[in-house]
Amino acid sequence: MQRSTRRKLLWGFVLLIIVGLAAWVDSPKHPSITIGSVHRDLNIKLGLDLQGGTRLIYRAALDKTSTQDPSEALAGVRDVIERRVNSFGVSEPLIQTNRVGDEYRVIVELAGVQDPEEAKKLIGQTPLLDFRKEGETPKELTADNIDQLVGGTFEPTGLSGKNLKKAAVEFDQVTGTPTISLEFDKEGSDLFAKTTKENIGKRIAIYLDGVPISAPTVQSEITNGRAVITGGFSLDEAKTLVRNLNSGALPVPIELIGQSIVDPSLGKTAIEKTLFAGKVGLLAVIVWMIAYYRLPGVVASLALIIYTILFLAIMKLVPVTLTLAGIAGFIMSIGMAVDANILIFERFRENIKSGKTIPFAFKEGFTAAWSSINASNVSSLLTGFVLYGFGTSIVRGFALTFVLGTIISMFTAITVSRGILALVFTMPWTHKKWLL
Amino acid sequence: MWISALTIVASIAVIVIIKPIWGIDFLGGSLIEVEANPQDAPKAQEGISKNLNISATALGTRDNTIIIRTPVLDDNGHKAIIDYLKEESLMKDEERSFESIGPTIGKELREKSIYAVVVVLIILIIYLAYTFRSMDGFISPWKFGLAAIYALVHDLFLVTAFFVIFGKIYGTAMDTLFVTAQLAIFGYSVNDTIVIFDRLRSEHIAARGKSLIETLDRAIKVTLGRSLNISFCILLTLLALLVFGGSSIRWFIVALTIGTITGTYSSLFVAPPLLYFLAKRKR
Repeated sequence: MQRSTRRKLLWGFVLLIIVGLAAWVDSPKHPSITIGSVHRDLNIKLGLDLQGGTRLIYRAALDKTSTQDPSEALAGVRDVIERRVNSFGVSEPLIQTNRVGDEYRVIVELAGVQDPEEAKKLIGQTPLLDFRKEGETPKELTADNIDQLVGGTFEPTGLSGKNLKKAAVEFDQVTGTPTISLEFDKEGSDLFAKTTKENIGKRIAIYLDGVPISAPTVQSEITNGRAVITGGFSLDEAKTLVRNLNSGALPVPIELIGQSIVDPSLGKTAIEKTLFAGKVGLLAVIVWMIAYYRLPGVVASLALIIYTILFLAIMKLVPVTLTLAGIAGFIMSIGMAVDANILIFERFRENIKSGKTIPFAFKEGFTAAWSSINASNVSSLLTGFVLYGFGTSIVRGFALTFVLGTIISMFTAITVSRGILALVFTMPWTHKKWLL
Repeated sequence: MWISALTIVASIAVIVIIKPIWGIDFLGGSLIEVEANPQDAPKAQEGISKNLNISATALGTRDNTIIIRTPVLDDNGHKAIIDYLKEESLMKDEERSFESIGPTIGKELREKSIYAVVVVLIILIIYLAYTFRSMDGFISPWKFGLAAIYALVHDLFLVTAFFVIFGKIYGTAMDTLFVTAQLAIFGYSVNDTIVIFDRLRSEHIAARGKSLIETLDRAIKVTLGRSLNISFCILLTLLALLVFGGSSIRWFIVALTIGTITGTYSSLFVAPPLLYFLAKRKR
């Protein structure tokens, strides 16, 4: 008994420190945190609707002779840019295709990126990969045809970044220098096999962003849909390139034609109103819980406040980008977070009704409720993980908040509610009927 | 059981017959850029929405322009907006451009999201079958998953049907926020159903030999307090948002509110009866 009490106290102490740290993170007085060389900005990241951002307009240079439907090709560009922006953790960007007369454009709006240069760099790094075969008539290299290799002209083969399935860093077995291996999709493999078959003895050049990287001579037909780029990369270069290739190579080149900084569509008052609503909601839940469950309700309210503090701190640390809808979702989660407590307290009351002593009724109630809490929360977590893993942008953003909320509410329900109530019920004066 | 089937059929009928209004997020729309004071953007947005009944979002830019996004506009709608802005002197001289824009929800996002939801459904059915494997012999564990998913589908359709009707009356469009709300309802509905099924399991273990209908009845009765209590707590926070929150997320909150109510209802009165029906049929 002595020992378990001491352990509980120790736990309480650890929890107190965690909550204290979280409260420190939450406080607007500390806009950033530096631990050693790690520096973290602690301002809440707000979405496009709440803080505005950068607006970039790109023109897509669609190949007019291509048989491909232009709006479909443009949609492909849009999806690649979206993937790219998401891979950098800019949450919930607004990306739209735009048609003006004959011109096809993509509009990109990024939250919080106040420096257009930064935004441009982010999207501009999307590589354009294509394969060209050696032409019949060799040409001299002049300033005009700088993108051609010495000794030959190179014509497009139709094989490009859109056929890429996967890129990976590998090491040359002889020299040990990093190389990049490419794996094509079905269509790409067929095309590559056909191209290599027709060009045995000639060279095939791999162009990256319009610049030839390497031009190996075809030894034989390649049917397995694999190619290797040996371009004398450094390891870092190779890694960056692979990451960029995997997040999508653009099907057509794009060109930046306009940029501006946009103001938020919803201002400060929208945030203030919603936060006020959140405070009212939190208070209403607390009042209800105390009125209905008395002493356990007080403990649940404490757990709920700790939940709010922890959640806010984690959203700042991750960081989660908050749109107005995200803030509303967070407020709704406050209502859901008491679920575990309600389950425990209902069981507890049942046990008291059937005549069990209070500490025992509580212990049993917790065990019985645990099975429900466990089953329902595991299903929530599974849902969240799958949505996060398979979804993109808005779906991911939702899944992340959902998973965080579930984990934190389980944590506070188990440690805070259970720990404090178990401690409280060791004191006999709490065993009064009107308190329970 | 039959009521829920009827609700689903009625919901589908409403959705198919009246047809939802898809938002600009799904369909694309028009984009107008005018030279103006960017501080006037909220005023322009509200004015256009209220006076012309065109749902618009206005963005101020640092280049002293306002960008207005609307659903697809014909020449009349376009002229109406420009006239309105000039009348209220919300714009200077000329408009910069009038263009058409594509949806913000791309093909990839749409396809991936549908794929994700299907995977979630399959995993949930497997997970529920695993969790309730001890019930084998009494009720086949697979039926729990089916009943929970049925209740979920019931909720999602019902909320969508409500929004289709709102669209008819108030012009509410389905946008990305609506999708997010549906995902939240998804999570809550399944969660709520599982709690009741779990109680059914423990009641079954505690009172072996009782008939299924008795056990099911008791499980619902004892979890009723909890179910109503939790949905009440969620509704408290949603109500606060509805009353004090801004108007831009009002429909989002309305969707969540309806979803919370139907989610609670379906966990109590849709999923258990279906489970009973499924269990009866095979024996």
